[in-house]
Amino acid sequence: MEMIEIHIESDIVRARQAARSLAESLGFSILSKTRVATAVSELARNTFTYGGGGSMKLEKISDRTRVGVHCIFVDKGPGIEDIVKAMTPGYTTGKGLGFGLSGSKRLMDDFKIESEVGNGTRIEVIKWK
Amino acid sequence: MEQIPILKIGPVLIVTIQTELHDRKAEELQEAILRRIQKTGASVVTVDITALEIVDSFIGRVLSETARMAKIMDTRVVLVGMRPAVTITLLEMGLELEGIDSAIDIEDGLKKLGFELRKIESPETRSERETMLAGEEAPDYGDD
Ligand SMILES: Nc1ncnc2c1ncn2[C@@H]1O[C@H](COP(=O)(O)OP(=O)(O)OP(=O)(O)O)[C@@H](O)[C@H]1O
Ligand SMILES: [Mg+2]
Repeated sequence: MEMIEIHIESDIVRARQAARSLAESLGFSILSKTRVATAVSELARNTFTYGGGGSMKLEKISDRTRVGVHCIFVDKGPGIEDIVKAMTPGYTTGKGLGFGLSGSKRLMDDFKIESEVGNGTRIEVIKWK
Repeated sequence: MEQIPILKIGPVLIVTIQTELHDRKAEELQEAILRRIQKTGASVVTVDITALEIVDSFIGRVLSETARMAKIMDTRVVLVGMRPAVTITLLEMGLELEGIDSAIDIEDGLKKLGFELRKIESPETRSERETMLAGEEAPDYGDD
């Protein structure tokens, strides 16, 4: 298990590199490593930009038949008022393209988002090998 | 922080990204490219992203924004060397890099825009090549 603090911009790069190297050590394909690193980059950036910083917990996950990469992003920022809207491709309250949340959901196998206005956001994702 | 080199060859600016691009650096690169276009009046910019292991929505936005702004100055931007895994990942995310052409390598990129790269040969290598190729058919570069 690895905790990666996300407080400055270069932490986004650290987070995606850590996720990529875990995927690599588990024998992920180049394509799947790229998917994981890209999704983590998006989610870490949201944690930094909108969540006012937070952390990513990164660990290997396994069940009886497979292994995967498991990440949990937590921040204590303003939270997301309308999750359905936030998950819609092209929706942004900032100056982004609005593809971070919807895009990372598509890239990962499992995507869980919890958010409470005033209390922050927690996003949990899994990519199986 | 080291600079990303921008070479100028005739009307072409050649940008090669050699390191991981964090967000601020991507924005600095955009500024640097646009400044060089303004200064040189270049008609084409090739941006080599072979070294990029990922392109996410942020880098994607910076790249298409750069292309859009360059277009206003009558300059085309060609992305070169995008890794296959990166291309597929962008497609899967539903991200389109608007306003950007892409190419396999710089030569291919310039060719698409109607430029031809010619090697500058010394008389010796030239005659050597001609002897070597004598009797062979001209190489086929495809028909595009
Ligand atoms: N951790 C977070 N805390 C608060 N709001 C968030 C968080 N993550 C996302 N959001 C909200 O959800 C919206 C959509 O996020 P998404 O990542 O899809 O797009 P974006 O960040 O605006 O643009 P892009 O990711 O394409 O650069 C954001 O504009 C923001 O309003
Ligand atoms: Mg985002």
